[in-house]
Amino acid sequence: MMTKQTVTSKELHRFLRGELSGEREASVRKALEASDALQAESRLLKALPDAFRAAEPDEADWLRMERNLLRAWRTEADRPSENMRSFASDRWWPKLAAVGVAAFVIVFIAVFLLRSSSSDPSLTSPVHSPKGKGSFAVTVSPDWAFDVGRPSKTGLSARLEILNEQGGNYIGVRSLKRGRVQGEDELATLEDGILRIRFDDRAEITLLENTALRFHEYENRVIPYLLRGSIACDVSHDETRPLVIAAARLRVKDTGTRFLVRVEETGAGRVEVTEGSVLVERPAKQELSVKAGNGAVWKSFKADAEAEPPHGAERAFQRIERLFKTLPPPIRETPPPLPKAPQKTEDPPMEPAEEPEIVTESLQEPETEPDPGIVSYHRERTSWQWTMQNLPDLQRDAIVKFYALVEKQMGSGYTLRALANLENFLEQHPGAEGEKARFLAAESHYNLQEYPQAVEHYRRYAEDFPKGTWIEMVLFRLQELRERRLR
Amino acid sequence: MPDSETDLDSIVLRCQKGEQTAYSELFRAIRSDIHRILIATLGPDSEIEDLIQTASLEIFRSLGRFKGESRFSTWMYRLVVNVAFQYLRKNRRRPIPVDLGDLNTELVSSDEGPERHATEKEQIMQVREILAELAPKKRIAFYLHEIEGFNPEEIARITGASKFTVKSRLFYARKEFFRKIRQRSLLEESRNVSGEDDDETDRNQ
Repeated sequence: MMTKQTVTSKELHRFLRGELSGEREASVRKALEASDALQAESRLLKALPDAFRAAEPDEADWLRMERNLLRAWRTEADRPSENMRSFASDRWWPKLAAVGVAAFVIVFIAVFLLRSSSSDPSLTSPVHSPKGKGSFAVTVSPDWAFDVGRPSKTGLSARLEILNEQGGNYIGVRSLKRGRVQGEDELATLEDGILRIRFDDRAEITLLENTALRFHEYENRVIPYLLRGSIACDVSHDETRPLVIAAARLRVKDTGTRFLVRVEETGAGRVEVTEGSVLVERPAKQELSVKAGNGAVWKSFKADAEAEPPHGAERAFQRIERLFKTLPPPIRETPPPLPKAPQKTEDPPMEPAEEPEIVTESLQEPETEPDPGIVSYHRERTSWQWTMQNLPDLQRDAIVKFYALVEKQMGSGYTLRALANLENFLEQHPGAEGEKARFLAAESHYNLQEYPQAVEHYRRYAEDFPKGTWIEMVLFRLQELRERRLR
Repeated sequence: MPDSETDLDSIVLRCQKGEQTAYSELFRAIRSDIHRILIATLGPDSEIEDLIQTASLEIFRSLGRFKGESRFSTWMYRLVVNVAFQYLRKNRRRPIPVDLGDLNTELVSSDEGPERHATEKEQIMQVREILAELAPKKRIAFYLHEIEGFNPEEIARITGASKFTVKSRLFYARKEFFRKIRQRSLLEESRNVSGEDDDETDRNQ
């Protein structure tokens, strides 16, 4: 016979819920009849649903709650909310709109990619025209080259190249076609940045540090407007199209010159003329002619420009002056003088097998008498270029491959390894073909912040190759290192 | 409550189509369930009416997301339990106050005389006190299983816990329930051991 101990609470619970099978149910029932304790427990378990039960609100309360609830719901449903159900699931236009937007995005991306892929991939870069209109201020790494924009969009077909390899933002522009810039294009340099715009006629505008230049369209012309900073202009004067720089509501107009314009954000500024002369003019005001060696200064947007001697003490002016000294003179649109003979290099094994190409070209051009008063612009072929052109194919290929390897090493961060190769190369090739090696060695030391060694290499470069390909950079570096040492 | 789940589903469908009168019907259909769940979780509370409205409004708001992948009652209970737990978190109160009023009306009428009626009333009060001492999560699991008849998987869906956690809660809720019953000497000494070994076995099922 089943005793009360043999029936567990669980079993009793199952019994009460009718979950036990027939035989077991009968035994539990028998035990339940026999035991008062089991009966008490069963009563407790039966009381469980009642214990959870609570009196519901009466109908009036329910109605009141319903009214309040529906009022709240209507208020909420009338208000646009992201949590609202979509009552328009069967409407076609939201889907169509979504498809349209998606298609537009896809087409836009496809066009963008196509345009990107159609250009020279080496010119693309993450800093390409972030505002989409050729306006940018960048900090660049040495191995980047990028374009400002496309002629169809910005009018700038220039290629920007990094001229130094330090990783600063010394950048330069080459082959910018004059007059192709569009209004509202903007160029800017950051701290320690220098941006050079070189026009087809070799005229140059150099933006020094922290300078911003915006191109404004005015009377069917595009005039560069100096927002802040300093720009150095080195232009050949052309009566039909004088270079005009607008700054602080003034216009600085070249009359055949090299000059520097500087303007502060307050509107104060000055012009320094190194060579030739400029006209500083304000609309409806008398113009001020500033000749070489003089300057003009103004104190605000509204103030007139006053003549003033140059402030040679200012570092920026000193620096640009030094920079100018290292640059070739401005181009005059006269043919270059005929070279007397190929330059003799100090490189004994180099035998010019044939005349350099430039000589042939020059001979084909009509001879004109160079104006003795004007310095003719002709950058002679440097020894490096000349030497390389005249090397035997095998040797030239080997050197080209060597330089490619070294530049790759430098670009990949193996500067020490590259430097060892360069030193070795310089020992074996003390002649003109080592020009690039000398420069790269100097740059490598510079990158490694081994400034004394860098200075030594730069100096030797300047002595050995005074008309070398990288002479501007070398002189700039020497100046920079000198300033650094002075600081 | 509608006669069948199908009726409720049709009301829900009408609500989802934006039929405003259906919301009224839906509320009438589910109000008792909401009330019961809230009482089971929170016990009698002066703010129960507000909570019923809050839970109902939450159900209305979320109807658009109901895809019919589970039973409507399971989905709805989950929302109500969430509302109850949010309220508990906000108020941080335990144990549930035991409401002594209205018990006479709550009891199923008995023909066995006033003495038996009083005993039953006393037992219910004791059970209520014990339930009030259970942790809310254990209590709701216990309630959903023992009273509403949901299996652990469904309870897991309602409470947002895992099936294992639900089984564990059920085990400890039962154990605690019977222990407290013994402590209150509601059961004879001879029955003290009953149930516990059995429960352990059940938990591991």
